[in-house]
Amino acid sequence: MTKAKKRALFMCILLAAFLVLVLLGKYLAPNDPYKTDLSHSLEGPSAQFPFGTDNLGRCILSRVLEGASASVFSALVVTGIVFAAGTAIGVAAGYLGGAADQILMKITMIFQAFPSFILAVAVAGILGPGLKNAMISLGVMYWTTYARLARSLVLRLRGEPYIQAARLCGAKRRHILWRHVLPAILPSMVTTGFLDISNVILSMAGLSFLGLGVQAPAAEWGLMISYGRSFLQSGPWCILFPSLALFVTVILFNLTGDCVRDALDVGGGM
Amino acid sequence: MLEIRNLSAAYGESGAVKQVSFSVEPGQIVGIVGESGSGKSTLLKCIMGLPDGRGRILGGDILLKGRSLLAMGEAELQKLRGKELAMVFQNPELSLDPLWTIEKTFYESIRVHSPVTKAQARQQGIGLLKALDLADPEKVLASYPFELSGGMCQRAAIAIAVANGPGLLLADEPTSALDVTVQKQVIDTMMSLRDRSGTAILIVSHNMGVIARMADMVGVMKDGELVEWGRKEQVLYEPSHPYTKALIRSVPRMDGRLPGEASDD
Amino acid sequence: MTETVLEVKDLKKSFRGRGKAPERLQAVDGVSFSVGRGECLGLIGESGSGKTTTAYMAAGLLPADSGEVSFHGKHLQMVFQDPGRALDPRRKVIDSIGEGLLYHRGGLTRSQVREKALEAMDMVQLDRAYAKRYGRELSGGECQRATIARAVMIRPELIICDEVTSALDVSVQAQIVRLLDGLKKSLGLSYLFISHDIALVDGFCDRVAVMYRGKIVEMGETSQVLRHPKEEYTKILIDSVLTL
Repeated sequence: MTKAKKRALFMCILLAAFLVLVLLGKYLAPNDPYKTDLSHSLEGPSAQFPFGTDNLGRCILSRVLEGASASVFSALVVTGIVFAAGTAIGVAAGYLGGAADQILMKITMIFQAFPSFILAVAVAGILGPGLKNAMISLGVMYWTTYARLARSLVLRLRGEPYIQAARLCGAKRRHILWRHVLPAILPSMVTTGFLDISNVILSMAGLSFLGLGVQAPAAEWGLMISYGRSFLQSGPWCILFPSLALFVTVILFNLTGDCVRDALDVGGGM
Repeated sequence: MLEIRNLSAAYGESGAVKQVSFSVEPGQIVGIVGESGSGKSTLLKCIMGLPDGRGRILGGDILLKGRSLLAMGEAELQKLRGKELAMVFQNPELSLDPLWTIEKTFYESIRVHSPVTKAQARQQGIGLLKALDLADPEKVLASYPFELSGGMCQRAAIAIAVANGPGLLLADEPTSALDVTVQKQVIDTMMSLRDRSGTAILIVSHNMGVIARMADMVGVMKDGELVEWGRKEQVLYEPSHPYTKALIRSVPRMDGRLPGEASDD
Repeated sequence: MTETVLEVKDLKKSFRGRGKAPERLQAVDGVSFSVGRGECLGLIGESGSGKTTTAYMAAGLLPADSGEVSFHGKHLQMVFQDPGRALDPRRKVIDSIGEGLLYHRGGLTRSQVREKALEAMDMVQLDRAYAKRYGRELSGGECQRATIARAVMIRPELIICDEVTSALDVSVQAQIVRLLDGLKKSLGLSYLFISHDIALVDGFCDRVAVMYRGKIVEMGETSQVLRHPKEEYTKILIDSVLTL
């Protein structure tokens, strides 16, 4: 195993551990994240409330843990779906070519003609606030990257002699797709996906910040940051700890993405 | 002109030169043949000063007109490059700036070494291209590299390389990217350059036919070592090293036989 | 004349011009030839003469604008110029070679296909130890042997060789040509051998066709065409051959 592969494995294990923590976050919470207690309003970190409390006396640590799944897993789901759909569309366009390619790529271009976050805000605005709708709007915003990347990779591969040789051996289109094309483009695609997860997390937090994502009183990091702005001076921990959680998550996904890219050696082979 | 003494070098992961010694006399054409990985390109890179920083000289010396190139600083070397030592590459389209006309490249390459006006550079360019038997020099000068055919482009690149009248021209596979009919023109251009201005040429190639036509002295490289060295007639037609013999046997000739067949002699 | 394996009639193909040249480029302009059983036809010419386009159309990998390709056999295979790109770099060599039989297995089990692939490796003198390696780990000559093994796996009547030796060192080139010649005799193969190396074609091909600007300008027995060329272009081409 090469050094790069070891590092990628280590980062993946670290990331998996982090995701388990996120998943179990609810059960680790020391206090009820939704219980208001005005007698403890805006208290600083203490033994009872390690991250302090907000203006309604809710435990910030518990809310950060509770909100983790909404922030992180929704982003994972969005990236997963967008990855699959975008890749499928791009591969279809690149491999079929001709009219199918023209139509699919024109549609992609239309989506890309809008500033992406504005598009997501518009879609979320039309669909109405809520986690599900925020996820749909992020999907609309992100799929074009994968479609375009997959298409360009497939176009480059299509003329390769070994693909031509497979055709001469009697391989059907689906054989060539599964055996030759997908394995070749997957490393680049997966790397892009990994690096995109943190963008999606940030966009999700952004939508919630604008009031278009998860709705109060539910816990979600972006929403907590937005809410905490009002108490920036009297209780800076309200905004500090959710931001810190967001920061750590994004860094972790980015580092893992980088390591995975090095391990798969994207660029050398493809 | 050029003397290489016990040169050893490492380049990247695979390239290497081991204890190579030979010399190039003024006006002489020396051909180095070898297969991929034989170290022949690394050798040329060493003489040019390993410009991409991936290699390392381990021992030996390179002398140009008696002065050690390895002892010189980068600034001193830079003064030498183009003026006394010039190089042409395998792919002329890549070695010429695609956004410059041939005339501009010509002007710039003269200007770095001696003060010259554009008009003077132009006159010099036309004269040189004419001397090298290129048809329509004015048109060639006004063209961008991609507007010229591969062969014409390579001949223009040679003219630019020798614009400052260097005593030694290094050529790295200068005909390998070209069609056969053009190959010969490029070779003729280099040979007439030698006949006209006495430029010594060190040419590296895997093509035995090219070396056989051009060179006075031939060196054969294998795995970084110079396994055979001598006059062309001797090395190519009466080789002594087994590797040279095998190499020469595998060259296809126009004799209606498969290459590499044990000949009947 | 012996039985014909491949017959090509009045093949034409044009491509859209690039950049400043909007007119269509006539890459192949009315090419006709035939390859007999057990025969090797050499197709020579310079870059841009339409050799490779002709080969792709003959193999059925590229549709022709007009003309006819008739192949009188069951299987046709092709070997390509760039050895580094001829094998899937992400698959094991044995799987790439076995691909030839994978799609028309005719009741063979997977292990039988593997056994046949190993036999094909013996045929092209590629050490069985390479079977478990990946395509990207092979040298140029080894890659070319593996692609030839893939081609002969399904016992084709004809193999189209597109500049198969151009990227190889001379000593490896000689080995590969001698291998192809041996397979031709032992398996009764026919070749359409595309090359710009005229000296090589001289030793290997029975007949030769000279292409220039999309047309065949001269065709005949190799010794006839190369020793006593009739066309001016053929003379220029032969005159520029550099050999020892």
